[in-house]
Order: sequence, then structure tokens, then C-alpha cells
Amino acid sequence: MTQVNERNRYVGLDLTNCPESEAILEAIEQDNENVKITRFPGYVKVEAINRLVINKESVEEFLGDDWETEDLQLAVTSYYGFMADWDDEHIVLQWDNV
Amino acid sequence: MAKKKRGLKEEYNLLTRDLDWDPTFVTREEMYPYTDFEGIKIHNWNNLEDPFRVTVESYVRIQGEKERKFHAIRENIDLLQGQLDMTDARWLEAMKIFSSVALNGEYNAHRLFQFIARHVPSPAIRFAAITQSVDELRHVQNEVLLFNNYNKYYQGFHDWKNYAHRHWLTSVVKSFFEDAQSAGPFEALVAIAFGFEVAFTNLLFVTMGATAVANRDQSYGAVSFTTQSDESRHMTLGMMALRAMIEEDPDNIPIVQKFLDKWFWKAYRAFTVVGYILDYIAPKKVMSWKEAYEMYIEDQVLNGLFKDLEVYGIRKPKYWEQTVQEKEHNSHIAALVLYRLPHVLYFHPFAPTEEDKKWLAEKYPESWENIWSKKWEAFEDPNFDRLYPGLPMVCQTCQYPMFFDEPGQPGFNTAFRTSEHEGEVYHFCSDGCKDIFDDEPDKIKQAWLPPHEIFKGTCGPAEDLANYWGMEPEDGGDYYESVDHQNFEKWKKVRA
Repeated sequence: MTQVNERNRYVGLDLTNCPESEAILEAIEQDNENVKITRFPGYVKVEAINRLVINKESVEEFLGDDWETEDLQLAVTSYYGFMADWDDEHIVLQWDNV
Repeated sequence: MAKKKRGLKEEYNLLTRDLDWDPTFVTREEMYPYTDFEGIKIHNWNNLEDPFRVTVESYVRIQGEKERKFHAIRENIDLLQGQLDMTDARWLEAMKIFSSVALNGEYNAHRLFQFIARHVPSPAIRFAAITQSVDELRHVQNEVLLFNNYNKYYQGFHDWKNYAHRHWLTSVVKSFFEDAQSAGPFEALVAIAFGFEVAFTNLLFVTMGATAVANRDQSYGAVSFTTQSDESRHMTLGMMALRAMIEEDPDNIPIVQKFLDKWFWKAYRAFTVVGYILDYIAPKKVMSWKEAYEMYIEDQVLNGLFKDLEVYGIRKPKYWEQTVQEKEHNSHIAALVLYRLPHVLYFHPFAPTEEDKKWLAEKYPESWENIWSKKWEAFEDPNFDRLYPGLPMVCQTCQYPMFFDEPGQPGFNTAFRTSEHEGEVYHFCSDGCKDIFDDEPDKIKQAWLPPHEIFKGTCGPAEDLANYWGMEPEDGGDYYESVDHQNFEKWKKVRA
């Protein structure tokens, strides 16, 4: 298991509390390793080490409804890491120089 | 045969980036006169892409949905008497500070993005900046509506425009934006997108938003998360532009480093008051300034983003160590100074209650017991004269009163720096602020410093200052002696 150290660092998203955020969280937990979830009043922080992927297919499965990757904008309130890729199927958040 | 739906990337390229054109009536240099002003070199403007891939169509749909959500909540607050549901009306002191600095700040951010959209010759940056200037207008309008509701029941919300333009404290944020607006387009971009949006607005909209939720202030909870959801897109612009400048030419590195040093420090100083809100004003507290700083600034920016940038020769912003050291102290310094100024503030300062003190001792185990609790105890002496005599001296650069301490000497030794320029002496609260002046003395010397202007007579007669600032007599004074406090206690009983 990857450990956080000098070079390996978390990337993460802050998601506002709403049903879509719960489905996104479950999708992230399923599709990534080392996922850390912290809850705060009104929002939840989800983090993974170095790279975090959100797959449209997984979110739709947990949500039980259609979901477009651009709909992330309705749930995400903040994030850190670089948006390395964003297309119709998935969103990749990562540090490039690990 | 049915046409295949275009993918996100193709859609973005066709409808955003590829709509750019080369001018023929004027030269490119005439069209974008500030491109070379700061020495930034970009070789291929088309290399830049917005990872969010926003088109007009998707922008309008997403923003419309956000607005629908926000207004549903806002109307419900009116309907269900949300103004009575708060843990305590003391929370609204935070909202008074917010309304007086953020509304004007958002509007100036709107203007700043217009400037960036006009002058950075990259189609991706220009389009992103146009949508962001619209975002900022949405923020101002939503926030004005929100405070309209508070204003029906509480003091301190009736004249936010005058507070924003004329009050001595709000000058801090006003001067931040005026400095950015009068810089070149790339520096302006780093100021707003990095200094504010990648780094410090998290503390204002996420941490403070969570604190609003915990205090059952649904209005600010709703406005802060909807505002910050746009900031995510703005962060992307900041990160994209930052990386592009760094990667395009090695000559850009020292220029970008200087922008980062300046705007990290300026934003850090400007956000001092957020520490006061999290640690003192919030009746129910979620996260201390120290904890929020560790999460959003140390982990995410200093040890996250800057680790990624160091391969290009970018180091952490100058004086970052001092900001980490000060996370133990600065909210207490601000609270102690504001406590002594109830006669010149449009909100109600107060001394921490026993409950507040217990929490502060837990969150600041070392500095509270050794330094800050003792300072508050000294104020309990019956011979102590609470009202600070005269006007505070303010820093030429950040415009806060000169109340910050020497690095490493918290509580006992106010930092004091000076520079001489053209035979005049200028005063600063810190090395960070002094460096910014020394680099551009002819710019920063023009700062409009409220105490100086008051002494010059620009703000009218001294005895009429409260009126000049837009204040009513009930706006100031201690919270626990205020009409707001009395009313809230009374209404709470009626409601119960």
C-alpha cells in the first residue's frame, strides 16, 4: 500500500452534501486505492494518494440514474491536484511530479 | 443516418477554442497591448486548454441548475423564519464582516476577470475568464439578496456599500483588488486565481461554509457552497495558467516566482480576519484557523502543489515558514485588537465567553495558556480602559493595523518595518509587506490609507466619522450589550 511521504501526496475533492455526491463517493471508493473520506458539516472531503479517478459508469451505477461528467460541477465545491483529464467517460485528478 | 453526438473534447474545441481568430484590421500587438508588459513569454497560445472544457451551452445549463438550487433554499429561509434558527446571533457578526468586504471583493473580481479576458491572448484563458467574470457577478447578486433577509432583522447590514468603500477596515480587501487591477494581465491572473482561489478562498467558503451549517445559518451555508463550486473552475484556470507560464519558457520562472511570493503573502494577510471568525465569532466552532490552515494551505498548497512545481525551479512562496508559525497566534491578535475598537466598527466585537475559552485552550494548547489567555485576563482589570485611543497606524501594503508580532516573539513585540522613498518614510507590519513595497515603491506609495486621509480631513470632520462610514449608532458597541443580542434572546423565547 502506498504511504504518504515527501513525494506521495494526497489529491482530493470537497463535495457538497447531496445524493449525487454520495454516488460519486461510492464510485471513487470502488475505483481507487487508498481512499480517505472525512465528513464535515455540509460537505465531505475525499482523497486518494497521487491520483484519483471518477468513472461515469460507476457513478451512474451507484446513482441509479444518468450522470454526465460535467455534472461534477454541481457537487464539487473545491479540489486539489491537477485536472489531468476530463472527457465524457472519466475525470482524472493527479499530481504530475510524484 | 443519425449524426453521432460530439464528445466533450470535440465540442469544446469547436465551440470555444477554435472560434478564435487572427486580427486583420490591426496587428496582434495592437489588439493585445499588454502581452509583453511583464516579460512573460508564451510561444504557442493554442497549447493551453481548459480541463473543464466549458462551452456556453454547458455553462448556462450548469449555472442555471446551481441558481435553481440556491434560490429554492433562500426562499425557504424567508418562509421558515431561518433568521431565528441560528445557534446565536453572534454568528452574524461574521456575516457583517463578510458583507462589507466580500460583496465589493466579488464585484472587483468580476472586473478583474474582464480585464484578463480582454488582455491575455489565449482563447482558452479568455473564454474561461469571461465565464468567471459572469460567475463573480452571480456571487455578488446572490450575496446581496442573502443579506437583504438579514437586514430586515439585524443591525450592520443596511449600508454595506458605504462600509465597503469608506470604512477603515474594509480598505484591506479593497487595496488587494486595486493592486491586482492595476497590474499586468498575468500578475492579475496569479493574484486572483492562485492567491485567492487555489489557496485562500477555501477557508472563506468551505471552512466558513461548514461553520455556517454547524450554526444552522442556512443562508450562508447555501451561498458559500454555490459560490465555491464556481471557484473550482477558477482554480483550474489558475493552475493551468501557472503551469503554462512555467513550462513555456525558463525566463518566466523568476517572474512567476515573484508573483507567487507577492500574492501568497498579500492573500495570507488579507484573510487574517477569517481566523477571527472561525476561532472567536462562531458560537459553535467546527475547525480552528490553525487546523484549517494545516488542511487547506499546508497540506494542499505548500506540501501539495508546490512539490509538483519544484521540478521547474519554483520554490514555496517567500515567508511561508512565518505563516505556519503565525497560525498559532494571529486570530488572537486580531480578536484582542478589534475588542478595543467597538466604537469604530460596524459590527460588535466581544471578549470570549467561558465556553469559547475552553475550546480555544483545547485547540491552541501552548499559545493559549502561555500567552493569549493572559492577555484577555489583563482586560478584566477594572482600571483597564477598553477603548483604544485615536486611530490605529496601518501598514502601507496590507493596510491592517500594525498589530502583528515579530516572527518568533508572539504576544510581546509588535513587528515594525520601514522604508524610505523620495525622502518619505513608509511603515510596514512585516518583511513580506516591506518587500512588496520595496519592489514597486512608486505604485504602493499611492495607497489610500484611511487614518492618513482622516487626519488630512478627506473624510470630513472627525466627530462625524461614523456617519461618513454609513454607520448607525446601534451598529457598533459590544455584542453582549447590543440590540441584536437582546432581540435574538427575546425572539428565541417567543419561538420556543
